Amino acid sequence: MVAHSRGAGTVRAAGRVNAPRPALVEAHADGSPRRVNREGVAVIREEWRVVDRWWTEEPLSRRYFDVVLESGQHAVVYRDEERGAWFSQRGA
Amino acid sequence: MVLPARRLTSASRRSSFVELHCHSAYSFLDGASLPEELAVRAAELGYEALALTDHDGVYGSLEFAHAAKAFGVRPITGAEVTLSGVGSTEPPKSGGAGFAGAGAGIDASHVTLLCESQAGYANLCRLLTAAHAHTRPKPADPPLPPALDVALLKERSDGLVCLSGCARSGLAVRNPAAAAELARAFPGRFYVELQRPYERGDERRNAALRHLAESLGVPTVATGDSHAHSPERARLQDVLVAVANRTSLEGCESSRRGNHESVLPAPGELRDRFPLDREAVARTCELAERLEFDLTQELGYRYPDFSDADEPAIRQLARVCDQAFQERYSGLNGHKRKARRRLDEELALIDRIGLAGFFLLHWEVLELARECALEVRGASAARQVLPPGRGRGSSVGSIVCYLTGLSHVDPVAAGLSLGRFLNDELAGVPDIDLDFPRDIREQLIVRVTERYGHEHAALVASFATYRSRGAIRDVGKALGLPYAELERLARLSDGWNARRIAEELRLVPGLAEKAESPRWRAFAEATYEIAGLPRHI
Repeated sequence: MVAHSRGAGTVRAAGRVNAPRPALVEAHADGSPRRVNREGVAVIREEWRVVDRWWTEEPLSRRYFDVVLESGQHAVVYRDEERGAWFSQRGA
Repeated sequence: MVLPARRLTSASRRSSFVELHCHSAYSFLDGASLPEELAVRAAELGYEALALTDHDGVYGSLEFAHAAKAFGVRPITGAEVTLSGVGSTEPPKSGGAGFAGAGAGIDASHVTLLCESQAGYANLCRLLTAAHAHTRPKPADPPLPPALDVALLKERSDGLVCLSGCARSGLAVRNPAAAAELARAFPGRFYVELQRPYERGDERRNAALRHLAESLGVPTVATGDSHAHSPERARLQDVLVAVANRTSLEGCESSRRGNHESVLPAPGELRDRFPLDREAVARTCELAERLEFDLTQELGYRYPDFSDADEPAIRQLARVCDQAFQERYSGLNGHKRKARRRLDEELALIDRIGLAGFFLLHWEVLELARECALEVRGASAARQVLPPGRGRGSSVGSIVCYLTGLSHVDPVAAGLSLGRFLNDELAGVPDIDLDFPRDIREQLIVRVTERYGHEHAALVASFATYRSRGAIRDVGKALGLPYAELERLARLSDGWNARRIAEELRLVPGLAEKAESPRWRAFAEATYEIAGLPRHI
């Protein structure tokens, strides 16, 4: 029982660590990111889209970008189409 | 003003892309639009041509071909075929609707086959028949998924173009070595298929596929893998995946597509998805031009002409009729002469339009039915006197039908004319419906198959389509709605038109107030959209 509780707690903690954070993103006309948190985007490595839970109170529509910033740092950001806001997600 | 069906010249509607991989609802729970809906949408988007490639079947192809032509879109016939016998280098993942890897052997990889010529269509039909053979080892159990032995595909590749399959279950993705081997069986007719479903991993997969194409020396081609003609139907596609997996939308997340990019795209939009593969996009148009087979044209089907016998079919038919004539018209003097004249005229007409074999075939099936009835009922049974089968409809105007047992009405005595049933202007074959009593059907099916051979006898299928109650239960379960409430609604529903479910929902006490919740709203929308779609064969 104790081990199980600790396991569940670890998952919750991991969830908080990787929780999306609001990001400051300037986008091109086609919606792809140009600058992320005031830093220029050097390369967009990949784009993918997620549309899910459209039948619930919390529909999900996201446009993800895997980018390399000018500093060489790697980042995953997404545009939340439902909320009209950008987020970054570590470990994605 | 009523506009004629859109028939634009190929020059005026030259598109930058032709979709060569598209599923309709005849992919059964892995496609959310009817063939004609796809055809209309393709015309609106400016497509020059469109291929219909349903899973392991061409059930919707004829309907699609006629609809597409009416709207000025050139129809291309094909199918996405599930393979067996290729082994697997990757563990199977569940496909769009849990269709891929659902159990057709250990591999169940897909390839897309497109008909280039009539020989290709004939081969495709043979291959699909083989894929479905032996899928019912226990007739009472649900059928096994179809699977085509890749060795047979290599044998019957003539007239077909092979694309290497979809992003999730394509042969080139699952087993590049097997794809390389198959490519050799399709010299100059094998393409590595690139798709961009906007899933994570698209870039890496397409890079590997480009590399494979280069190493094999074959071209790449871009496809959309469309499963719906509108965004509403993309949501329905999610529901269908849940139905196919017998679970809820929440329970089939890994099998769903994860987004709604499987809607038939505008050619320009598809082109934008492939910035690194413009040639693969342009190549779809070149390939489409090569796929000239037209399912709406005469395919050269002919009824058996009984030419394997010593005497010509018309003489065999005349002999059968003469024998029956002696029995039925003996002693009817004035009537007999009139009947004889009518019979001679009819036989001459049948000879002119070359349908003697057609009538002999029906006579022979009735004779088989007579033998079956004797075996099943016994010579002394009261039911023995019942006819073993009977035609109906306009065939009652034919004395040949009367004498061969197709009709029980003497057209001469009843003063019936032949013209509606048979005439010199007849373009195809006359319409004959034969009904057989329930007690002999099973035996008769076996006898007919034995008489004409498995290659020449087939059962005709029908499609179960969504009506109210099926829609309420399937969609409701997919959305995780309470069983008791769904049953209340199903009992109160008119049972026929699923498009009225949203109205009916508002009339049910206790449900009316829930109708505005997202889940019930989704239910109302999906039941409206699913109305009339085929569910299974």
